[in-house]
Amino acid sequence: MLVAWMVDGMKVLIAGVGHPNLKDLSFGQVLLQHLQTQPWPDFVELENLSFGAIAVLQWFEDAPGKYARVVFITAAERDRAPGTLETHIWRFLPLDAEKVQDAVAESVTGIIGIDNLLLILQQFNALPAEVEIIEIEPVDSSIGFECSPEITARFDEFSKLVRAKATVQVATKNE
Amino acid sequence: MCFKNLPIEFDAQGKPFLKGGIRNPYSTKNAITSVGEVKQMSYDTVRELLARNGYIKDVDFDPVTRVAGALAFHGVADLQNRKFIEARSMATLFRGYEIIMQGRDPRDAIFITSRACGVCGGVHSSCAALGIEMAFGITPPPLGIIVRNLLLSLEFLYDNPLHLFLLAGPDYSELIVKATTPSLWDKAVKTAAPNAEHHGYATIGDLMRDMNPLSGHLYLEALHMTRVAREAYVVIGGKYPHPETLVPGGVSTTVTLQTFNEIYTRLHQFFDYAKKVVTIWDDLTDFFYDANPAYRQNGMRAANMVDFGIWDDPDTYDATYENCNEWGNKRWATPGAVIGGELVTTDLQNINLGIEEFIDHSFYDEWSDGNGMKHPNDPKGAPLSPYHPWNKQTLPRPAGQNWREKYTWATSPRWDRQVFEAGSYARVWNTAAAQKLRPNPFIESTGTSLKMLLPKAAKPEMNIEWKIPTDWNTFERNKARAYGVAFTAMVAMNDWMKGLDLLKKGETKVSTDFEIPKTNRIGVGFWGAGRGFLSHHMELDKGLVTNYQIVTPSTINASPMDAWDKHGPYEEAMLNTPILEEFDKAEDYKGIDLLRTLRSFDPCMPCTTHIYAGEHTVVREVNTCACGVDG
Repeated sequence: MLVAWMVDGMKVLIAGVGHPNLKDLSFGQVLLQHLQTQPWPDFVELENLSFGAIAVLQWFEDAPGKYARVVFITAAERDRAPGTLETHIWRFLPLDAEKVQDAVAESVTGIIGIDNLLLILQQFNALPAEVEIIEIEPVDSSIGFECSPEITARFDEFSKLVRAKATVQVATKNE
Repeated sequence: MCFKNLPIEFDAQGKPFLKGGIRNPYSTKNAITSVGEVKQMSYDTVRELLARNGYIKDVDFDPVTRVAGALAFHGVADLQNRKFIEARSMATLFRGYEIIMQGRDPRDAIFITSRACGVCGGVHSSCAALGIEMAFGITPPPLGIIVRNLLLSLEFLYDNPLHLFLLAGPDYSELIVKATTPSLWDKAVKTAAPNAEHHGYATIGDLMRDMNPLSGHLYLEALHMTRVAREAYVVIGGKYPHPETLVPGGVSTTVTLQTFNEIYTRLHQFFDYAKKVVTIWDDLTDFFYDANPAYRQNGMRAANMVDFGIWDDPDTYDATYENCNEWGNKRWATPGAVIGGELVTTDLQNINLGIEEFIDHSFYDEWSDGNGMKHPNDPKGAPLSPYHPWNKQTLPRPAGQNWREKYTWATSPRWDRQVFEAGSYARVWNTAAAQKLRPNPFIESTGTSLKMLLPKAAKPEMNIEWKIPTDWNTFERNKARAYGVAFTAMVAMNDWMKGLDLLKKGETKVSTDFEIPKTNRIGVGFWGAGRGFLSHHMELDKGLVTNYQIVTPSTINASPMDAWDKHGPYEEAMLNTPILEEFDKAEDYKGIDLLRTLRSFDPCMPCTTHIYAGEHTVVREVNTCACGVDG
């Protein structure tokens, strides 16, 4: 359970992360486009952060302390059953400097991915206090602008989940 | 007479023609003379030594970390005699762009081939645009050429500092030097830095400390400077690394005085940064040489390097092959082939005629028996090899790895059948040696050096001079790349001033209209990436691409042995590298000398390796563990 605490003016960020045009591997970007068609409270912002992690780091550094929470939406191939949905909270565990350096090297040479992004953002203290990741295992990762029919059919389910992660604690506080 | 091995001679007017009286002039059975050839033991002898001697050790780096893409390296080290006795460079994935491009609208090449690299995609876009406009027969307006030049410079100002401080830099940091050569670190903390007044570090130890990854100031500063360059780039490129504004015949963006001002506010930050970068790498290089002269042997190979030159002159460039020597020699970076340290030609046509690609140790099928070919001549009537990119076909043939036969997806590009390397330093060398620079306030070519005036910013103006080195090795590559940052910034300044002048004159047109020709055409983009040499050769018919061949710098540098069993540049450099690392037991050996050597080439493998899987390209990258020196 996240412990939300927002001072006035702070925002919640919903961010899609992933390479483009690879069907379910682009889940973060495609679902984000779907979410952008929906109404959201003023304190929620939606952004496509599918860029090199260093560019994303510098994007966060432009507005330090702006976000109380970020919900990353992404996909990754981790040998789970296709279509598996996992959510987890980023625990801010101590980092291995060598792994972070490798992540930087990969990121500045063009690789986009949630693992490198989280390591780098934590290393440079750019993450909000609350970070949650919503991730799926792709069903189809071939070339394509849209997600697979199996994943697309579950967009309402995913949207409700994202909305809950982004707003539920804040809504409670506002009540 | 620039060719020693190819069957090409020149008439009294300097026009190349095919040498007569040779039955099969381009046969790979013909003997060649090579400069700087490195011999190694036979495969069987090495295996025998491995089995017999505990100090003969297999050294495998797979992947080589801090390198984008799929580079693996296999070597056998003789830890007693402190040298490498076997070296193999492997590109472990297939690059499919040549196949992906077939049958497509040529304009797609600008956007598709850009994806060959996530670091320097823009250079592929530009290179494709150059090739297309040659095939289409269109010439960009002057301001379009200037904007394209600026995009290239800004891309390099992102790319080269990134390599110097984020990728190669950590190899020279306190953390790595302490771990691999403690005595060197002891010396570093006691050695005053000669250029302290310019870079601000009293001792070499202080400097190395700030090169530490993640925490060192120089590392973090480079991270910041990549942003500055990127910001300027997107002002005219739309986005980075895959720009949206490059088109055949120029660019599709509107540029104004404000655009130029926004670029300048970023560009001028590189004036002082270049002063720092150059003096840091001067001091680091001198320190290693003084500490142990054997470091001069690190990564040494013959100074064989080829580059097409970059940054066109808006008053000369007309995109034609017919006039390529004229406009090529007016580029800010002079085209050139350097063999054994001597600049043997600066003519683009000769450089083009000399290029061949061999696949004797690569996972491809032969497309030529050395005889028949589709294009026996270039558009000016000069002889072309059947192994030339305009005649090449890409025929992948996956197979098991066999060190004696085929072991990589990289090919073996050669110039005049010589092993050569590509790098940003090649354009610095060529320009210094050629003395062909147009008059300008910042850069002077002396024939033996490149002198530059870095303007006043927060720091006073500064004169610097890169001298053609006597040894060509790991350290000189990095040092020349550092001077390349200054060179790039000053070229950008020249182009910026020219662009402003064009705007003042009202010459604001940035692109030329065109129609896609339906007849058979060939074209080539002669260009350069952050790490050197880049060409896109293409053939079009009925408005579609029928052949597309890309030669990238990392393909050249990572190339395997060729038809004459001569090693590629990484392999040669490794075989010449002494093991200077300090260790008591073989199991403590980390391989820093090898890694420094490999990284001095600025290896970046995405342009060399991609997966092509029939109906689609699969992009799959993994966050690797630390498999380098700390692994």
